[in-house]
Amino acid sequence: MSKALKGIIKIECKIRVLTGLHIGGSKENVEIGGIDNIVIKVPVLKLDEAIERDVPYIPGSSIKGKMRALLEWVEKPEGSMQVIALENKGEPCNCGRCRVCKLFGAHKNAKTEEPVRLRVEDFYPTEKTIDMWKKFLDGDFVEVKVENTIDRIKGTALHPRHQERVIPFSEFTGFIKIRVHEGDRKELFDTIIRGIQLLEDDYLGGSGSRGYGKVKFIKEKILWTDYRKQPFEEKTVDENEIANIYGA
Amino acid sequence: MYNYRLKTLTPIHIGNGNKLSNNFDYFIKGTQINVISFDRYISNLSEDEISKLESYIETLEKGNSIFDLIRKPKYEEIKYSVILNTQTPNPKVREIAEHIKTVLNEKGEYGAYIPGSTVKGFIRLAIFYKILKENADLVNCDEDIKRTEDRILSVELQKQTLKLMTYFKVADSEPISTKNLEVRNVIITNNKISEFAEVIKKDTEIKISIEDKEFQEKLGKLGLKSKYLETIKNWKEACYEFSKSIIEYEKEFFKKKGLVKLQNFYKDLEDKNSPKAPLLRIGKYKGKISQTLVLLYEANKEKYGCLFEDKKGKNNKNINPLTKTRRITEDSLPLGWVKLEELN
Repeated sequence: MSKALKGIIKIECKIRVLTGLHIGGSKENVEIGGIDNIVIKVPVLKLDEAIERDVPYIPGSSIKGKMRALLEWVEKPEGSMQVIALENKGEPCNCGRCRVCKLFGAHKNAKTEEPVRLRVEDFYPTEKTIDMWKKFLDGDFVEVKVENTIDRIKGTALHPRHQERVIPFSEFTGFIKIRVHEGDRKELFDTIIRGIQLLEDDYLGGSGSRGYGKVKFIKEKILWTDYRKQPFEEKTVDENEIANIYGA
Repeated sequence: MYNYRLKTLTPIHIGNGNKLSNNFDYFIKGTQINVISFDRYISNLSEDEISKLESYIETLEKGNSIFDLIRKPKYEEIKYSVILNTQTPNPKVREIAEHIKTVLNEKGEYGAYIPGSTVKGFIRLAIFYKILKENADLVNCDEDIKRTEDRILSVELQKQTLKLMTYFKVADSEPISTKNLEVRNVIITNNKISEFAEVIKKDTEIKISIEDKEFQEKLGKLGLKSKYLETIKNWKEACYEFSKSIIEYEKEFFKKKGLVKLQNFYKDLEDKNSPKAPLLRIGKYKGKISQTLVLLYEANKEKYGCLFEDKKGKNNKNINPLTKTRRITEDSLPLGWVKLEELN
């Protein structure tokens, strides 16, 4: 049974990169002497007064996917004593009733009637960040880190590879949106905040266990659009007001 | 964010793969090495100066500096400056191995750092060394050593292979000002071959994040059954023991060579190593014994010798894998020693 949509909470965020960030992209051509592992880039980014090409960004899917994976280590499926990650043998939850399913969707479960609450937008760099990149990276937008593996017997370097990374102090902006339906409880919002904390304690992108991808979320403001009012009304709200939005 | 501190006991060099060239990467003024943004320099050249570039390109191979032939860089074209710390009079610094750097602050200044992969690499090796040392039966001479390592440091869980060290997270260190860098002449103990390298100075403190609490929690949650979990959980103990073995070996090595200053250095270092705040050896110039399992050969040739045989060579089956030379600074300091301390 579908539930009426009351409105949308939009969390306007900045993601600040604390250690080199690598979210992998794909290459069209293999170049001799080229970079082995490039970061994902948007072909064209329009800023207030300029257009930039091949600009690194953070896909919403990377944020949403990682947040879900981390929450599944602490959240339990409906009626289970065990956390999702262990209960489902590595597969995402598909019970359709737990907080993770309500927010992120019931994985491969076509029968669920719960609407997906969470939308995570792609996050794009601020103009200040692009200026910093140009200054620090001599016109490039990423740093290149050379890595290798040390042979445990000979001590020689093996498998040299070049990794593109977004540098620390880079900031990306975007929205995390939570749809609020009739009957929803504030615990759904709290779960997202918990997911953000888990992500800050973990890492975003690749190679996080050896240094990459520490990030910090900075909540700029929270907006609430009430769809029950005509015309729709969008207003800035305090985090303390979220409980009133969900209501009794 | 940071929960540990690395204190450098000797200079540290972690290369970024680049060698700075005196042709166009830096110019030296007194003892100061000014590293230049070549892009900024070129984009600021006048038409006359650009025409001089042609003659520069013709003389490039002679090692001439672009800054002598065209013009000296302006202040805004300097990326950062470091002091040349050498005892060699009038040294010819043609090339410098560059230390890894990133951005220091929002102003876009340059900062040096220690990659998480470097620290994790030493910890992983120390754990592997301790497990092999205590369990010689794990040595399989017909198996590639990387495969042995992967086998030991992983467990089967719900029909999946779980790599234990994936849950052990070491973030890149905080970036530190380039004021903490200097250029040192790194020499080989038994001859005059030397090379210049940017190093983090001795007695520098750098914060780093090692998430071992979460690592231990997750291991508990998974209920994993691995014989070596305790060794992995007690990773600081493993680092302490591995460093202890390196220090003991190096002390004897320098004693035999009659290099008293280095022998005494290692005597002092013994006291600084402890299971709670172990010493690590990281970066370039740390030598083969600090980045391989070769000390196992020294400990027991019978048990571990086959790991070090040259399997492809027909006549060189029993070459001693222990090296005879060491890289040190001009004032007789070995490179790469840091102390790891937990922050309160």
